[in-house]
Amino acid sequence: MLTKNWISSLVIDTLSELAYGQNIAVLSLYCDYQAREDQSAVNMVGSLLRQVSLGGVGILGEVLKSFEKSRKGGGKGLRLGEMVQLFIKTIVSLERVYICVDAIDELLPENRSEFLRVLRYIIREAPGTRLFLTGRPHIRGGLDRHLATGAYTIDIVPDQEDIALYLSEKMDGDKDWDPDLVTENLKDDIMKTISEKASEM
Amino acid sequence: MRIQEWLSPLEPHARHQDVRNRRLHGVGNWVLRSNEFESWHESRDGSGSPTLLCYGDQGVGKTYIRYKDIFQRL
Repeated sequence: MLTKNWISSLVIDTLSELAYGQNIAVLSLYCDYQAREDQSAVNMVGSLLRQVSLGGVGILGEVLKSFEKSRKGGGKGLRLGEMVQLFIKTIVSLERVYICVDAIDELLPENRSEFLRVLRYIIREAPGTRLFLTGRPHIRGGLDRHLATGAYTIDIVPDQEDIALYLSEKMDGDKDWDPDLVTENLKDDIMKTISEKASEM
Repeated sequence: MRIQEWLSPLEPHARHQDVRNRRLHGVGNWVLRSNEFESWHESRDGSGSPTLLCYGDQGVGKTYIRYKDIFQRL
């Protein structure tokens, strides 16, 4: 099944390959309706900071300092404003930071607006930031409002080539097919017909 | 408490591994070849938008399930 998060994971892997060996970080978040209570703005930014600061060798100094300070004060987590400042301080030395967020429509509405506000602030304070978001079309208005218009936009629709790949994989993986009865020509015919029907939808 | 959990309890890496394991090779490559993706990826600071949005209905997935069902009945 082709879903939006296939696209997200493909984009994340591609960006990571292209960034290899450079002063570039690729950070990712997958929103999930089932985990909506945990996916607050502060936990989302915290997750980004966790990826960028613990990804390399050792823990970055500023993050460690904040952690030690918090531990002495009872171990409470950072507030959203503190988390965002610490994140920006950490990424500002990087040439580029890609933040990829899958299925942003699955966040609770109040968390989503707060998180989008934070993202806009991060882009402003750290101009090397690039944002990749996926979501269902009904949140388009909200995203335009929060992230300003003019963003590059792609509509994910079933692509004929994708359908052919999917069908081909399914047919090859099916052990019940008798190769003498189902010839390659018949497979081609089936795939052609189904792909054409799909593109008419 | 470890510094990891103190920063955030979320584990997006686990989800990423799960999705990438189910991904079919080549599916979605048209997105990477699109002008929008290339312009966004190559944009210099201050020129072009820093943001790329991808919209997709849940129908995208449903279409595939339906064709799979039809196909299995052939």
